[in-house]
Amino acid sequence: MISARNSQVRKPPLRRGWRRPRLAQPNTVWPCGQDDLCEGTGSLASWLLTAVVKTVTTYTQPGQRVLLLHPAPYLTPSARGQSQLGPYDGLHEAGWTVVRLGRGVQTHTAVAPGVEQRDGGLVESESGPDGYDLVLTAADLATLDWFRPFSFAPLLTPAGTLAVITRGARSGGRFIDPTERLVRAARDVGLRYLDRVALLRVPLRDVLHVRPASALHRQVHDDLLVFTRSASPARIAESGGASR
Amino acid sequence: MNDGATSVWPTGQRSAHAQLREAGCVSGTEFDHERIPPAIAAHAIAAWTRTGDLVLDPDCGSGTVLTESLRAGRHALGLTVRKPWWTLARANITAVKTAGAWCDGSVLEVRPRMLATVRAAGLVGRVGLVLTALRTGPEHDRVESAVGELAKTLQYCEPLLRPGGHVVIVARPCRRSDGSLVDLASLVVTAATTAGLALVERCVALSAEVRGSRMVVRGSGEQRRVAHHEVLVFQLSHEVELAAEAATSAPVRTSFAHAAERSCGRRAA
Repeated sequence: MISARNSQVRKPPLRRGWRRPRLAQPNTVWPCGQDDLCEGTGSLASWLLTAVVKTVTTYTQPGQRVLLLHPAPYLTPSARGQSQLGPYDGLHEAGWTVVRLGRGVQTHTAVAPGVEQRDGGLVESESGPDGYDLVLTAADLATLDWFRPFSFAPLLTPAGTLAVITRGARSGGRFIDPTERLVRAARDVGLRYLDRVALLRVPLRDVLHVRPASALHRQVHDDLLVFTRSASPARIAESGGASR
Repeated sequence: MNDGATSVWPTGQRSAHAQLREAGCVSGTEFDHERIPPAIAAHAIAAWTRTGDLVLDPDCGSGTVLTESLRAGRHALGLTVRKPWWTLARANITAVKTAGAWCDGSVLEVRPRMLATVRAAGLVGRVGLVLTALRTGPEHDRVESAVGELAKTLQYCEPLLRPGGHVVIVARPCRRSDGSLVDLASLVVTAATTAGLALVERCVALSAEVRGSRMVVRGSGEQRRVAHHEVLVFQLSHEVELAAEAATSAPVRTSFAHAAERSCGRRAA
C-alpha cells in the first residue's frame, strides 16, 4: 500500500514571475455552423454569432472595447419596403454575448448616404479617449457599394483591429470577390492586412461526405478579413500585452 | 454521400505523407514542399474533367497532379524547368503506370514558353484542365516574380483549353517578412484576367483533418495556423460571357456550342 506521504507527487512550480499574455494564434478556417445551437427568435444567424464570439475572443482581451458596426441595407432608398433579411442582419444582437465575454461593447448602424441618420451617427468623440480595440462589421458585396468600413478606422486604438465579414457573389457567370477592394481601401488608410479566415456556415459533417461534382460548388463559407494599424505582430503583442 | 459539392473541400483527412503513400509517389516527393497535395488534385480533377481528358500542369514540380490525373483515367502532361523535379515526376509517372494506370503521362524539362511554340500545336483546344500551384519559394520571398511568371504561363495555356475547360490555381496563404498577409488571391486573379480568364469559383481546400465537430490542424508553428489552400477556378472570359448571355436571353443554342464556335473561329484567325 502506498502511503499518503509517498503518493504525494511534487508538482512543478506554477508560474515564475509575470508572463506577457500571448496574442492568440488563430488558424485559417473556423467551423462556425453548429447544429447544437438553437436558432432563437432573433434575426442573427447562429453561425454569425459564433463567428463574432471567435473574433472577439481571438483579437481582444477582457476589458477591451468592441464596436459592432452594422450597415443597414434595408435603409437604403433602393431597398425601402423590402422585408427580406440579409445574411448579416441582427449583428447588434451579438452585443449581449460580447458583454458576457467581459468586453465593453457599443453598437452602431451605418446607413447609406442620403438617408437620415436617426441616432445622429457615431462621431469620434463617442469612441472615448482610447478608441476601440476591435471594430467588427459584416457586409455583402451589394452593401459594400455604399458602405465604407474603413471610414471607421480613426476610431481604432493604436493597436486596434478592424475585422470585416464578407462573401463573394456570382454575377454574370463570374465570381466577384470583394477582398481586393477591401485590402486596397485598408492600405489607403494605413491598415495592414493581418489575417484571412474562412468561416464555415454549415456543420463540418456537411462538407465531409460530398462527392466532387461538375456543377458549381455550393458556397458554404464567408471570409473574415482582419486589418490592424500596427506595423508588425511583435508590436501588436507588445501593445496588446501592455494594456491587458 | 451528398451530391452537391461545397466550396470547402475535405482534403485534409489524411496526412501529407499518407496521401503521397496512397498515391503511389516515390520517395523524395515529400521534399517538394509547394506541391499540390494529392487529395486536392484528385478533387479538382474529379470536379472539372471527364475520363480521357488531358490535364496540364505547366509547373509540375514532383508531379503529384500528373499521378492523380493518371490514377483518375485522365491523360497528363507536366512541364518543369528543374532537372531534379523532372527526374522525380518521371519516376512518379512510371510508378503509377506500373501500378496499372493506362493513360498517357509525360513530363518535359522545358519552360512554359514552349506551350506557345509549334511544338505544342497539337495541344491547342485539347486541354480539359490546367491545374497548377503558385510556387512562391521556400520563404515566400518571390511572390511578385512568381505571380509574374504565372501570368505569362497562363497566357501560354489559354489557347490550349478546350471549350468548357478550366484553369485551377492552388495557392497556400503566405506572409511577408513584416508579418502582413499577402493578398495572393487578388494577385492571381489579376494575372489570370490579363490572360483572358475569368474567375468563376473560389474554394477552400482543407489541409486540416475534420474529426467530428472539430478540426485538427497538422504541423507546427506558422504552418499550424494555415489550415487550408486557396483554390481559384477560372474559365475562358468569352465563354463565361456567352454563358451568362445565354442564361439571361432565350437559349436558342447551348452556350457550349456558342463557345465552341467562337473558340474555333478565334483560333482559325
